[in-house]
Amino acid sequence: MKQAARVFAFLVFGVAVALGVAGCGGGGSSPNPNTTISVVIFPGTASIPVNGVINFTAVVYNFTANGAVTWSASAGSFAGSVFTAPGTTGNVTVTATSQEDKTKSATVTVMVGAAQPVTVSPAAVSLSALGIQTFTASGNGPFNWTVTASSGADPGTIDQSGNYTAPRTPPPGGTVTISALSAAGSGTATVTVLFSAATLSGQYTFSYAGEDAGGFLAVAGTFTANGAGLITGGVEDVNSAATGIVENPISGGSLAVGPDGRTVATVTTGLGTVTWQVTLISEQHALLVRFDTSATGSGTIDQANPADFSVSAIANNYSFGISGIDSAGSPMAIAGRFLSDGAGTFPVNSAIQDVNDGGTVTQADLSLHGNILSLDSGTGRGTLELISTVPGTGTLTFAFYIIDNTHFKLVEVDTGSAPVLAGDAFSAPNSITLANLNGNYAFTVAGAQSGGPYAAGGVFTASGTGTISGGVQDINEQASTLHLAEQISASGSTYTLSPTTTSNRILLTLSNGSTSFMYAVYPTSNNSFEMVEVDNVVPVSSGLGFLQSSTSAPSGTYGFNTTGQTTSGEQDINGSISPVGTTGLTGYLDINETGSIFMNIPLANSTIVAPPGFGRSTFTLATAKPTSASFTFAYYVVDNSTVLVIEMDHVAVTLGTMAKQF
Amino acid sequence: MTSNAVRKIILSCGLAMILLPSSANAQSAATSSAMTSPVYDVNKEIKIDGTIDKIETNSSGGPIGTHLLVISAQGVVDVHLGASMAVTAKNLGLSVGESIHVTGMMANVGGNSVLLARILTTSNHIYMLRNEHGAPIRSLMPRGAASSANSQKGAL
Repeated sequence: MKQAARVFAFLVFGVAVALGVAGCGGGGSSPNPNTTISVVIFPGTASIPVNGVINFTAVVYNFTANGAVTWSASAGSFAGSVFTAPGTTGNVTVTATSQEDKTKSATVTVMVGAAQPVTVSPAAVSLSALGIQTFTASGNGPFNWTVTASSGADPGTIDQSGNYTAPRTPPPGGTVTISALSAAGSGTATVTVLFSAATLSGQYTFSYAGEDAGGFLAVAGTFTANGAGLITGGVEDVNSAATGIVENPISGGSLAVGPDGRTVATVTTGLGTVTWQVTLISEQHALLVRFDTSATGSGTIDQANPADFSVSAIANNYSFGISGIDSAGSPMAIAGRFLSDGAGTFPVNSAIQDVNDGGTVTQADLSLHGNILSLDSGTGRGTLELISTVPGTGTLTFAFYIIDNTHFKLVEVDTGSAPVLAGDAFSAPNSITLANLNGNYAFTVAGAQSGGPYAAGGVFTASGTGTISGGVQDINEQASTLHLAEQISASGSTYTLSPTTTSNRILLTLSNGSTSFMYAVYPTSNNSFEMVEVDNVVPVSSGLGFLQSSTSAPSGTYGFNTTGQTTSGEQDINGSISPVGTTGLTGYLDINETGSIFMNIPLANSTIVAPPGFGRSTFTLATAKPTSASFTFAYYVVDNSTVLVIEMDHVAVTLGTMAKQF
Repeated sequence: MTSNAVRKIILSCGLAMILLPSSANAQSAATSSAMTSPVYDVNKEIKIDGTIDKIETNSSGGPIGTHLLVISAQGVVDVHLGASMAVTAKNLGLSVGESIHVTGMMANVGGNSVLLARILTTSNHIYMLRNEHGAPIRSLMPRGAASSANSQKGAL
C-alpha cells in the first residue's frame, strides 16, 4: 500500500503548477508574476545629531529589470545614498523610490537632535555581517573607540583608529553603538547589522520533511559553508519513493543571503540541484523550507560541533521523536528514549518507546534496544538501528547526523516494506521523575483524524508532583472545526510516571472538560519533551513541548516557519516578521504551496494581540495584494526568543515556530 | 497558488476575519467543545454505488480536501476523500459522470454530513484512502522547525 500511496503523490507532482525560482533572498528579480515591487530601507530608523551623516541602503524586492532607487528627504541632502542631516533639529522623512515603479517607495523617519561634544561620522549606517566601516570623529583626539551591543551579545570589534568590523549575527535589536571618547567628551554612532553570506560559515547539520513526487519525503544531511556564500560540500540521506533511498553527495552550492536573513540556497547534489529557502536566525541556527517545484518541506539547519563526531561522544540518555508513514502509508509516530553507552550500544532494559501506528498504539514498549552501526568522524553522519518487537517496526535502520552530543537528526533508510520515519534525538536526564514537569509548558502536536489533518497546541501548568492546575489549548480539526482557547481543566488532567518500575516515561492527560487527550511524554535535558498521543481520541498525533519562561508578547524580529496541509496538499512557509508599534506586524513571507513558489511576499495589515494569559494569544498575517491571503494563528510564548504557533482559521491546518533573529 | 485557490483563500479568509477576532482572543470566556472528527468504526461502514455529480475542493464548512458529490440510491452523498495531494480528483483520475463504489462511514464533521471514504473503487482502480482507524493514508505528520527551540538552547 505504501507503493500505492506514493504513486498517488507521484501523479500529483507531475501536474503541479510550475513557477521558476530566481533572484536572491534579499532583493532581486521576481519569480512571482503577480507580486508587486516593494522597497525596504536600512537602517529603518535613526537618531543622529544635526549635520550628521547616514549611509543608507535600500533593497528592492520583485523588480523585473531595475533594482535601483531614487533617494529624497524632507530636509537635509543626499549624495547618492549618503544623507546629511540639516543643521536644525526635528524629524526628517527619508524616501527611497523604486526607479522601475515610481509608485512604490519606502520611508523612514530620521530624528535629528542636538550636536554631541564629539561628532562621529557616519552617525548611522547599515552594515552586513562581518562588514567593515571606518568611523571618524571630530575635534582633537586621541579618541577611545568602543562598541557595545545589548544583552551581552557580540557587538563586533573596533580598533583605536575607528575601524569597525560587524559581528556575524545581528545582535538583539539589530544595532550596536559606536562611541568615541576624548577629553572634550563623547559622541556616538549607530550601526544596523544585517545578515550576510558571512553569517553562515562552517559545518552545519540540516533536516526537513515534506512531500515530493513520491509522496512523503524525509531528508537529513550536512554541508559546509565557506562564509562567502558558497557551499563547498556535504552529504545527505534522502528517503523518497521518487528518488529512492539515497546517500546523496552534496558537491557544492550557493547561498544568496538577504539583509533580513531570508536566504535562497541552491544546493548541487548527486540527484540534481535543489533549492531551499532559509531564514537565518543566527550564525548557529536557521529555518529551512524546501523551495522548488519538485518538492516542499520544512526543517532546520544547525551549526555542528565536529568535536562530537564520535561514538564515544554519543554517551547519554536520549529522548527521541520520529514520525512519518508506516509501510502501508498510514501516519505513524514514535516517541521514546534509549541509553547510548558510548560504545555504540543501546542496551535493552534501558530503553522504552510508545508507538502509534495509524491509530494502533503500543504503549511503554520495553523491548526497544539498538546499536550504532557506523559513524563518519569527518561528516558526522552515522547509521544506527532501533530494534523492537512492536508490530510494524522490527529493526528500523536510520542515518543520523550529529549536531552535537546533545542533539542529532534521524532519517530512516530501510528499503522494501518498511516505514519512512524521521525526527530528532535529544539528550535526556538519567532518570525521570514527576519533577521533570514543573511549571508552564507550551506544546504543539500534529497528526491525522478520520476527517483529515489535525493540529493542537496549548499551555498547561504542571505542579512537579503529578497535578495539572490548568491551561489553555487550541485545536484545528481539518480547518473545519476550530476549538479556540479552550480551558485545560484541573479536573481530569494529570500526569504520572508510567510504568513506575522504570522511571523513564511520563503519561500525561490533558482534559478540556469534555475530552481527555493522553500523551506519552519523554523529557529532554533542555526543559522540553517529545510527545506522542496514545489515546483513541485522535488516531495519531505527535509533537514537542517546552518549559515556558516568559508570557510576554513577542518583541523583536522573528524568523517564521509553518508547515501543514491546505485543501490541496502541503504548504510550507518561511519568513521574517517584525513588530510595528504594539499591534502591527510587517515583514516578508516565502511560500511553497504544493510546488508553487511565492517569494518575497510582503505583509500588509497584519496584526498581533498581546497575550492575556498563559502566553497565549493570536496574530494574523495578511499578504499584500495581489497575492492576497490571510493566515490566523494562535501562538504560545516559550521564552523571549521562541514562540510556537498553530494555524486557527478555515484555510489550512499548519503549525510551526517563530525564532528571534534580533 | 492557483487563481482559484487564491480566490478560495480570499473568500475563506474573509469569513475567518469576520468570525475569528472576537472569539480567538476571548481566552477567558472559552468553553470546551467536543471533538467533531468522529472515531472511525468499521462496524458502522456503509457502501454506496453512484455517479460523480460534482467534484469540489472544499476549504470552508466541512473538512478541507477533496469532496465528491455522488448521486446514489441513497440520494446525493458528500464523499470526503481526504486532504492530501495524493487524493485530489485529478490524481485519482476521477471525473464527473464516472461511476464509483465507496466504502466508508457517515459522519458529521464541522456541521456537514459526509461519507468518510475508506475504500474507493473505480472502473479500473481500488484506492485505499483511510486505514481501519480512519487515519488518512499518506496524511501529514509535520515536525517542521519546532525542534529549533531545543537547538537554540543547546550547547552551541
